[in-house]
Formats: sequence, C-alpha cells, structure tokens
Amino acid sequence: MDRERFFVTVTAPSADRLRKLATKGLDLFMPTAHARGDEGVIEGLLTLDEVGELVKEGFRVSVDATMESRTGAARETTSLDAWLQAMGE
Amino acid sequence: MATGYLPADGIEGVVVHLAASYSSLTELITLPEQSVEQRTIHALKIANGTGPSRRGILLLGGVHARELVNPDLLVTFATRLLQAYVNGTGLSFGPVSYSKALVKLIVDTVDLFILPLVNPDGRVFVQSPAGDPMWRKNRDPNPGQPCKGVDLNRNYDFLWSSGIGTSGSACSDVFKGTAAFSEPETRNVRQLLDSRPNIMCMADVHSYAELILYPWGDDDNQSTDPAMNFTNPAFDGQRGVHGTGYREYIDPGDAVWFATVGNDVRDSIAAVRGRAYTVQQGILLYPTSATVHDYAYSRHLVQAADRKVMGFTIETGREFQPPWVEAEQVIEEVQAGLVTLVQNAMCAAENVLTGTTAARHVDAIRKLRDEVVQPSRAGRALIALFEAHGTEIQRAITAKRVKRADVVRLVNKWVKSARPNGLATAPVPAEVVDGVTSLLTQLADGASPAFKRAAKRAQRDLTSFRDQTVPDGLKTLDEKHR
Repeated sequence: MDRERFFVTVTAPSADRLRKLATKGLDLFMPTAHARGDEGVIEGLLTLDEVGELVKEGFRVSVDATMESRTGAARETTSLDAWLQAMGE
Repeated sequence: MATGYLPADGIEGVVVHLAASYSSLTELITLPEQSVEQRTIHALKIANGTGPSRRGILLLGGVHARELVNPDLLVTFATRLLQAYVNGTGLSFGPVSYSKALVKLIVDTVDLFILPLVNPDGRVFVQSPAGDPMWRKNRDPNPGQPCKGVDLNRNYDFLWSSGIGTSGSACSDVFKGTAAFSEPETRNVRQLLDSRPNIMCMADVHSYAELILYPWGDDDNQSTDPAMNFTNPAFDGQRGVHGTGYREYIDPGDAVWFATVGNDVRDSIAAVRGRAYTVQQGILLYPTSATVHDYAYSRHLVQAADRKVMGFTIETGREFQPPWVEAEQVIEEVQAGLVTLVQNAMCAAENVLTGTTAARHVDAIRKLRDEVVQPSRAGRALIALFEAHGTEIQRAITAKRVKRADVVRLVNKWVKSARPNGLATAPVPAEVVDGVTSLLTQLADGASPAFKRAAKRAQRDLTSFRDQTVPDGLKTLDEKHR
C-alpha cells in the first residue's frame, strides 16, 4: 500500500456527510471545516488510497500539495544562541 | 528577529534563560511530571509582585507537535514583554502599538503564566530527520496497541467518556487515551490550574485556520435552559449528535464576554497586516470533547470552589509549518492579539484608573472587594457584574460614551468622604451612589442586553448603600434576597 501522503481538500455534498467523515480515522484538519453553500469542506493529509476511497463514496477531493512541499520549514531551525542574539538578549 | 524555528530544547532554553535574566520579574515553574520520553517541562510566570488579588492568565502552546509556530510565538511574546517592561517602553507589532503604561500595568498587576511547549517529545519527533513532520500527538508508546501517541487536546476531563469527536483507536490522530488525564502532559496543565487558583483566563494556541474559538465544543450553545448542560446525565447520548435538540448551556454574560473579547483579539490581529481571523464557538462543523478550553471553563461548574477560567483556543496562520518568513508575520500579528486578550482579562478598575489621580486608591478598593464585598451574596453578584462586563465597561470608556474623568472624580469623592475611617466603615454618600447609578445608565446605553439587565439590577441594589456603610448595605441586600 502506498503510504505517501498529500495535502488535500475534501468537499462533501452536505455538512452532515462531512460530519460523518470524522469517524473514519482520517487525518482531517477539523479547524478548517466549513460550509460552502450546501456543501461541507475540510482540508486534510491523506494517502492516495484514502483519496480513492473517498472519491468512491461520492466526495470530491482535490490534491493540493505533496507533504514534502509544505513541511520543509520543520527543519528550518535556529539555535538557542542565535535566537537570543537576534532578540537582543 | 530570529531566522528559523527553535528546536524543542531551544524553546525550553529560552524559558530558562528568561527566568535567569529577569529573575525579579519571573518564576521558573518546573511542572511536576516529565513528558513520556522523560523531558522536563517548564512554564514561566511573569509578574512584578505577588498577592492574592492578582489575576492569572495562562497561555499554552505546542500541544499538537506539528503546529510549529506557536511555541516560538509564546517565547517571543514573553521575551518582548519583559524587555519592554525593563526598558520602560511600549510594544509595537507592525502599525499596532501598546503603551508603556499598559506594559507596566500588565506586569505589575497580572500573573502571566506561559507554558510554551506542552508536548516537547512531539516537537522533537517532528523536527527530527528520522521523525514525521506531520506528527500531531504526544509519544506515548500505548503498550499493547499498534500505534503510538495520544491526542493531548482530547485527553482532558470534559465529557471524555462521551467520545464526541474523539477516537478510542490508538492509530487515530484524535486518540483520546485510556482515561481522562492518562498523559503526563495534560496532568501538568491540570496541576497548573489547580495550584494557581488565580488563573481566570487562558488561551491554548494552535494552528491553523485563523480562528478564535470559545466554549463549548460539544454542541451548539444556548442560554435559556440551565438544566440542559454537560453535567446532566439525562442528556447523555444526545450531545454532539446533529438533530437531537440538545444544546449546551452557557451563562449569557459569559457568552457576551467571549464574543466581545474574541472580537477585540480578532481586531488587534487584523490591525497588524490585515489577516481576518474568525471568532466563533468551538464546535465548528465537528463537535469535540475533552479539549483544554472546554475543560478549563467547565471546572467551576463541576466544582463550585474552582474559579471560572475563560478559555479560548486560537488557531494561528494558514498552515502548520509556514516558511519562516511567513511564520515571523504570524508571530507578529498574534502577539498583538495576546496583548489585547491580557488587557481584556485584567481588572476593569485597574485598567480604567491607571495613570489617573485615582490610581492610588485601587489597593483600598480591592481590599474592600476581597474582605467585605466578596463574603456577601449580594456583594458577589455585584462583583460578578463587573467581572462579566469589564470589557464592555472599558470599551464604553474608550469610546468616550462614559468619561474617564467622571469615574475618577467619583472614586476620589468616595475615598475622600471615607476619611479617616476607611471605605469599609464610613457611610457611602448618597451623591456617590447617585453618581454610580448615573454612570451605569450611561454605560448601559449601547451595551449588550445582558449588561443592560445586569446594570438595572445593580442600580436597584445600589439604593441600599445610600448614606449607609458598605457592610450595612450588603446586609440589607442579603436579607432582602434571602
């Protein structure tokens, strides 16, 4: 099974359908959930297998970015000394 | 400014550094439990002075490991606040400025508790080349389970058993753990709230979505049926379920406070570079349970002896790990929101009187409140009015609907009339009572319906103090309302 993950936007036909997604154990970013007209929209981080399952169930899924493209900053680090110096400490 | 995210030990290092460098203004709080992977966790208290009447405000960050910007935000905020206080300057965030008088007032009158990295193990894992940059939970090995980690913001004792918006599967990103407070990291937060009973406001800073959230998270709010609430077992199974008719009770004054303060925080953030955060109840489209802001706010309803803690969750920025150049902007704008949050949580009297000729009377008024007014039932109701609506009062004064000079004149007149006996034993002159009544009328003009109702009640009660001492007036009221 392919475990590579992608940032996605999932659109459900209704807010109620979107709510039911919560029980599936997917990595969906709950604070991003919102209604757009009758539809419910949420962002998440899914594998292509998970995307395929959702599409089969009637959700629209747009793949927005690879995980790597939005996580590079995790390693954009500074040292304590450099930080303190930059802050004038 | 810095050039990148701090590693977990760097966040800890800043806290230790600030405690050492500003030792007279800080306290390094070693939390009682180490993280799952045995890391020591510290909080920082910023305060000049001590005393039982100081209000406490708690800021949490780094609960969810992948939400990188918030621990950096909180240590930056702590550093800049301390620097401004020591240097006698204000604080500026882009075009938004806060005066040096406010900085001084915050540090001199508030106990500010900052716990910037609740979950250090998670951050280490996120920032490690061998780790997972999108890890959310702590690093509990979950013995006997196939996956590691508990979602710390689903592990608090607020409807934990309900399972609303949580999972019992260890592989889920919203795994709630094996029991409420099963994790040392959440027990540390509980211990902070237990051991610092003056904490009356908190913000848990997360990412992302540019939101300012307030209780409740389990179901829609209502303020008409107090019996329909999370402690009532008659409603078990109905909460968080669409279409059951259940809605969670929230005190109407608190609902106004959350919305008013949330909007103020939102406006301050927007003023820095125009980002439009949304203020809303925490339920969003998904109900949740066992989150820290609901737990903090629920404590006084479960245990009457606990102080009410007004809890927010702020969801910063537009992604978990913005490139550093964007992270700096998020840090800048949200700091403005935090100053405004602290300002709103402060005592309205201190805020209104600071820098005026009546400022020297604040201690005497506070003493009267704590020793004479608070023990009386009617007195507590009067205090509650000012606590619940302090933000509206300050706003009315800022908007010049009520003149600060009139408030100052009245306070000075009252204190002068009480000499030499003191506020607790001298009769309150009728003209002072009439002056307060008139101010309440002016304050109520343009205020929320909840404030208008409370002000009307207070005006009725105030008549009992005309030419009476405060204790006698309170006694009359307590007997009247018995």
